[in-house]
Amino acid sequence: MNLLAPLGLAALVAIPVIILFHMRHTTPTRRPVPSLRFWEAANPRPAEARRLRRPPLSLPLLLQIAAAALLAIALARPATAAQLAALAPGLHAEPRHLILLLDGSTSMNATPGATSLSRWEAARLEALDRLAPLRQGDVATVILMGTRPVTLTATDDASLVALRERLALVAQPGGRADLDGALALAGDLFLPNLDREVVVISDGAVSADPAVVTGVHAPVTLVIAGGAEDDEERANLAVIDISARPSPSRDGTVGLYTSVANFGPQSLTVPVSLQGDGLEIGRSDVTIAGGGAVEPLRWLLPPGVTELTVRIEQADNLSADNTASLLPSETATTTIAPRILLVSDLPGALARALTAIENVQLTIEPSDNLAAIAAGGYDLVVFDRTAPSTETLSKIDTASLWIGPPVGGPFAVTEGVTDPDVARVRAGDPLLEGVDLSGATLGPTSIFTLGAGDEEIVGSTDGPLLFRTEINEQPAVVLTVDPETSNLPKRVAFPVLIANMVEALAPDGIPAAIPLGEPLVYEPRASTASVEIVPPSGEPALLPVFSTGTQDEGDTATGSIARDIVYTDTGAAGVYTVTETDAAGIDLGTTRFVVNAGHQRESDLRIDPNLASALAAASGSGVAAQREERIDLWPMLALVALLVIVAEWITALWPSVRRATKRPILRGVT
Amino acid sequence: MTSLVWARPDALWLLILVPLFALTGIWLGTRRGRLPRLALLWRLAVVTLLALGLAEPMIASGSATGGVVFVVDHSDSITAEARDAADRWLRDALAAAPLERRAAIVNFGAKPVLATAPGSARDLLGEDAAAEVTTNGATLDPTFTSISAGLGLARALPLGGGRRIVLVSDGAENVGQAIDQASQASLESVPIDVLALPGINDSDLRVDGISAPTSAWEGEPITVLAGVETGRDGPATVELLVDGQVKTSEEVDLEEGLSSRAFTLDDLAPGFHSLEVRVQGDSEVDRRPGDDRVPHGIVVRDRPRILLIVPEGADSGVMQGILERGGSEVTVTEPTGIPSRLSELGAWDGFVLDNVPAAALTFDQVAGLREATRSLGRGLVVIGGTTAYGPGGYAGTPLEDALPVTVKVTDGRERQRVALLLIMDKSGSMGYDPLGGKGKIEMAKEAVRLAARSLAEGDQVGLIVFNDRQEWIVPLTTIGDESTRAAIDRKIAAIEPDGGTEILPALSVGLDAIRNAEADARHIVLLSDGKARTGTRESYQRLLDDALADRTTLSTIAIGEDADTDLLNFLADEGGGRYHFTVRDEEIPRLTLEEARSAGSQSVIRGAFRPIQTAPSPILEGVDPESLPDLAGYDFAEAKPDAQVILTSDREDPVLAKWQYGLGRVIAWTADNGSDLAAPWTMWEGYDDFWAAAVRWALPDPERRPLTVSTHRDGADMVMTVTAAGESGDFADFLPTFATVTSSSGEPVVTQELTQTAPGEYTLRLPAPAPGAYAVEVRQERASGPLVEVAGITVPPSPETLPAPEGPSLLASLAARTNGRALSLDDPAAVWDAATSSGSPLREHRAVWYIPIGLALALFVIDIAARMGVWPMLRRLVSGSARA
Repeated sequence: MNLLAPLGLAALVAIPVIILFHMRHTTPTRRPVPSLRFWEAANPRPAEARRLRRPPLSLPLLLQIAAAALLAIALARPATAAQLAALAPGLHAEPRHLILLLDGSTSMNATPGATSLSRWEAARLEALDRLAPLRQGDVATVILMGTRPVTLTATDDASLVALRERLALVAQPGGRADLDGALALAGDLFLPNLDREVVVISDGAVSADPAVVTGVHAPVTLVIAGGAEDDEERANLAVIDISARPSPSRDGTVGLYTSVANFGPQSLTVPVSLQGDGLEIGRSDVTIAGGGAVEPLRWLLPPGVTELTVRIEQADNLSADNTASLLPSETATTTIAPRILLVSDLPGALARALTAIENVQLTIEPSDNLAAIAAGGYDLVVFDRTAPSTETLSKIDTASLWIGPPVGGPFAVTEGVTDPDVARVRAGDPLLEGVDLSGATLGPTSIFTLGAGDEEIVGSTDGPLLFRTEINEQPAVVLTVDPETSNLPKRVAFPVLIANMVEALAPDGIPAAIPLGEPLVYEPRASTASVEIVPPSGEPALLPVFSTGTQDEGDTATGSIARDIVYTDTGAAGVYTVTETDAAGIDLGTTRFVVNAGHQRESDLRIDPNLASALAAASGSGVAAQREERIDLWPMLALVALLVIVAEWITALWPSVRRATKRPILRGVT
Repeated sequence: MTSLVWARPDALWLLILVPLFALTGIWLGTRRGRLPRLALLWRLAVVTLLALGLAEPMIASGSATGGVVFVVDHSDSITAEARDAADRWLRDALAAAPLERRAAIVNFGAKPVLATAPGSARDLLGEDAAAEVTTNGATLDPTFTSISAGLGLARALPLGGGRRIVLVSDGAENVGQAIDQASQASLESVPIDVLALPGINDSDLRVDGISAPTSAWEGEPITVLAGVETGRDGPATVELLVDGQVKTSEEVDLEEGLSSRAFTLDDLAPGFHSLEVRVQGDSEVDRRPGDDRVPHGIVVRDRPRILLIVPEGADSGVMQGILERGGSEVTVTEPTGIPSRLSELGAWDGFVLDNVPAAALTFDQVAGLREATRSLGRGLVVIGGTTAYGPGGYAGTPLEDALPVTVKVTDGRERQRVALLLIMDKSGSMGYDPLGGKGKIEMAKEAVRLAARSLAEGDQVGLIVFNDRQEWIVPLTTIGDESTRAAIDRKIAAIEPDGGTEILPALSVGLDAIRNAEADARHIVLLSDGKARTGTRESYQRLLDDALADRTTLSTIAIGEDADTDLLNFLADEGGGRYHFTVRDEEIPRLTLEEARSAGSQSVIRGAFRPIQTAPSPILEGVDPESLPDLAGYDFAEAKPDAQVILTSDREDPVLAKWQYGLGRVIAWTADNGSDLAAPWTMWEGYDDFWAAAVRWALPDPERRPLTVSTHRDGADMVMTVTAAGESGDFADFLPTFATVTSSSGEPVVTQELTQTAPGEYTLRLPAPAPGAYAVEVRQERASGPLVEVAGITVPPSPETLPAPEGPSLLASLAARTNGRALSLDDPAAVWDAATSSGSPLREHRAVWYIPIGLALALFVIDIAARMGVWPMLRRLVSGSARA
């Protein structure tokens, strides 16, 4: 026990003062008498009356001393360790900042055999329990640790209630717990005049860097939530890797690589099955040594399989990582093909080059079909040696590619014509990846002028030949030369260049797989008005596509704004389906992506043996599996003092009480 | 604003004791004279103070409105000028803050640091807002930009529910996803205002990037293409450094914008080399030295070794010379010299089969060549001719399996009909034989008989003999059964030599006749031993032009020294056929038979045509398709489905086709090496380059080895991926694989085992070393022994040195998603114009419980004193001392 304000002990001087009062020889009592005559003989000597006597060991004196002592000690703020905290929650006197690092990683999904609560649920209850004693003046920050950390903060009574309610309902983030990142964030949450305390609530299957912990500059307490610490309770099997590649022999077969880990103490032989498009196409019994051993597996698959699932056919403490799925790349990148409009009166080599690009939907319209051009709904518009009217152009709200634009189009042109030769190349630019322009003969072209913000990629001595710009605040790329007057279409550089330009301008596809808990961020096609994502649970989420049109232009930022979709509920493993819909409600296409739970670190449910010692590196840490909260005892002392004062009050008044109660009896006797 | 709040307001219920004390005190104390009234008051005060103390009073102070968190970009992409402007703006903004507003400052680079803890905005003026060491001692890392991390800390700071975030950045994010943070901030109704700072732009003199191979053959010209960007015209020095030494230095006058500089290296010794392009200019245009150099690692491999296989007795000199001039080390062998074991074939990087008949190769040899291509990734070039492809019997052999074309043989449907016209000199000299033998005429007659018999049913054959005039011995006759051939034999037997030699009229008659023949291939063989007295080259040329236009070819056989060899050579050249010369009469039947077979072969399509380029290819890089010479024919084949056909005949049959076969590449050239079908090509100025490019394409890509190394930078880490192919052309799985990274100065950086992550794919993640070129030695333990590969990798400079044109767009998106604003450097006070969102602000609380508790103790003592009658005594003492 420590005294946090030892100066308060100075108040103990009250005790000798009280004793001194009691050491006075007599206690003057006001008593009415009819005459003072008889008192003259009894008049004590003044000197004797002033003499002190030994203090009487009376009950009032003892109670007064006890009350004074209790209050004086309370003023010294005695504090003690946790044992009494459960009996008297919230006995801290100074406002404090409680930072809870709540592990929401995949391993917290585990449900220890003897309990019905998962580790996550147990940890959440522990966190709520920790938040309960907080009161006005305290600040609470809860960092939910997962692949995508979530931070919740409360700074007053109302927000504390809201925080507790939200924490009771919040979804588990899932994925990998970045304890180092959370500790670093906790270290940055510095508030003056607040005692900081960091509490890590985790299953212990997480690592910490002592160097990061040192920077927290606050006590760090580790609370192990959920389950026993023995290896048997924490045993787990997991599919921790899955990937596929076409065979280098180019025979059309696809190799599937997967690895299965056993984090239990014993060697096991477990059946592992492989399903392709819902049908079992492989099975083998795999023997895996214990203690985290990994057994790699490989299958050769026939071409054409669109979805693969590897499953460990044995139950364990964490079921989510017993299955891993994969969408082979040739089917998974996206089936929502970018829609390209080619505006051309003589589609030739350009149309062939666009058609050769995999996974695009190409529509060709002549330049006089203004209605079709202005109708929109395309992800990319390609103008082949033509330019629309200003009015039509103003209606184009998507990326555009311009091949050999004529004079009079939207681009500034200076007088003159040049027979260009390639004089400048922005080496390393993505548009030129795999493009070799040496030997290209280019026909005469107008001399274009770059505007502000335009970026030249290839230039001749007279002007740009290939440059980036913006049309209607949408990205655009311009190839100034007419391919038909050059040998470009006959060179391999041409289709590669066209493909690069389409890739740069058309929206990206959805990745085939993303880590558990990591948000899906992607840009839908231009005509998409909403995106529906169906997770493995089957409950669809409808995400409106962000539109600048809904913003107040007078108050918001202006400029080109990305239309990225951000989908965050990826805490469950499985296959997610994404469907894009246009403003008229027409489906534009469906694609899928996979989230897998298995991970070398997260599937290992065993406590990191170095975790406790790493967290102990924090200054003032009291690291243990049990609570180590220090509490103030002064409220208890003050309360007891109040009770003592009440008792002393009763004692002082007791003679009156006794007389008051005896009087009727005496009357009755007389 | 200061107020009193109660941490434990429930304790105020204890105040109910006060009236109880009062009642009991009055009833039992003061009314009965046992308690002075003053003591009762003291006691009531004590109880009241204790109750108040137990309710834990606190003094709350601070703003009643929300705060603003300034999130300030301190990464390297912010120029010094921009940073100064941002600092001034921040100071002005804080100075303009209303008194009650609170603020905090978060600085960020790769990670965020809390520069100033939340407090009164004006109080922050006194603190070092630009501090790069946070309140808890963390240091800012400016080598990356993580806007996401900065916003994450700003969102987590306990300011209370109402806040705005003001992001001061150039938007050049290269770590994390700020858009995700904006999404979360939007859900919390926290607006993000943005102040866009100028970041890296194209105005500084810098190396924009370089393009160069990561691996090349020794002697192969290596082009290093560098892009140099500058903001204004001016002189600069562009240098190419090889292994730290300046290899080339150019003083150039750069114009504003982008310029390209190409350097060619052709003398790099085998091994790893560190390349670097460096640019230097005056300080006005070159203000950021960090972007002046870009490294590149390259590995130069030994010259490619080619095994040139030619038929027995054939002359290999031309092709050998072409290949050697193309930079290859060439070994010439006849079919018998080809090893059949894969390990021995692995000594060569590529094989060129030049018109080699399959029959000359053993099955093991053919299978070995196929496996060397498929499994070892060696290159294979198969050149056609009269003894290759169909005529060479490739059909059904392992060699055909490796080819991108299917060899076509006679199967009825594909059979082409041949019209063969023999024009034979029967001048008197043809009957002369000084040795007393049969004479040339007899040999010629025998040759005609053999030729007629070599043709198939349905073909046509004709014979014109000439001296001073021409005579049809056998009009063009369709060969039917044996009786047809017997009739021809009879007619030939009657030929007797006499007269002079007039070729032109006979040739003219013959061409007129064969032009109308119903045949797919028309071929004339002219035999002569004399000199024609009439006819000019022009007259012959006109005839031959017409013949070629009708797809009729002409071969000539000059017999003896007296023959007009010049004319006959000319006729064969212009006629798209072959010229033969012999002094031995016995050769006449063989040569004639060869011509007949060649013309009659079902797998050789004769007839001049100009090849048509159907697909772009590096083999024809820089070649105008219109400039390609004619071919006189080709071996009939059909492209396989996965093959890329580059050149076709006018019948759309493949002439030049290529494909990837397993790990190797194969080229099929269905014409020949220039001895016959492609004879005009030997005169083409691009002939050497054509073959050099073709062989170079077929050779294993020096960048595609059994162990291929690639790297990419992931934030502060470098991820190395090794793709391994097995000896059978399949995945190389479950093999211990190690990588040793060595700096360009030879100092080892790291040696570590890689982890398999995909079929035949191993990865290693390690902290990125300093930007530069590094050599990587990858060792994979295989059953056949360790496989070691050396590769060059490049650790690029931090992306902080590169322009990020998408930065403003990102900032605009962050603001738009959260209903934030775009702020201006000119109006710092505008920060405070917008209200924060609703929510209780964070206030500072100071506990004052000890005041009522302390007072209670003091009053308790006074209370006792009052009850003990101490006060009268004190009064007496005081008054007594006063009297004294």
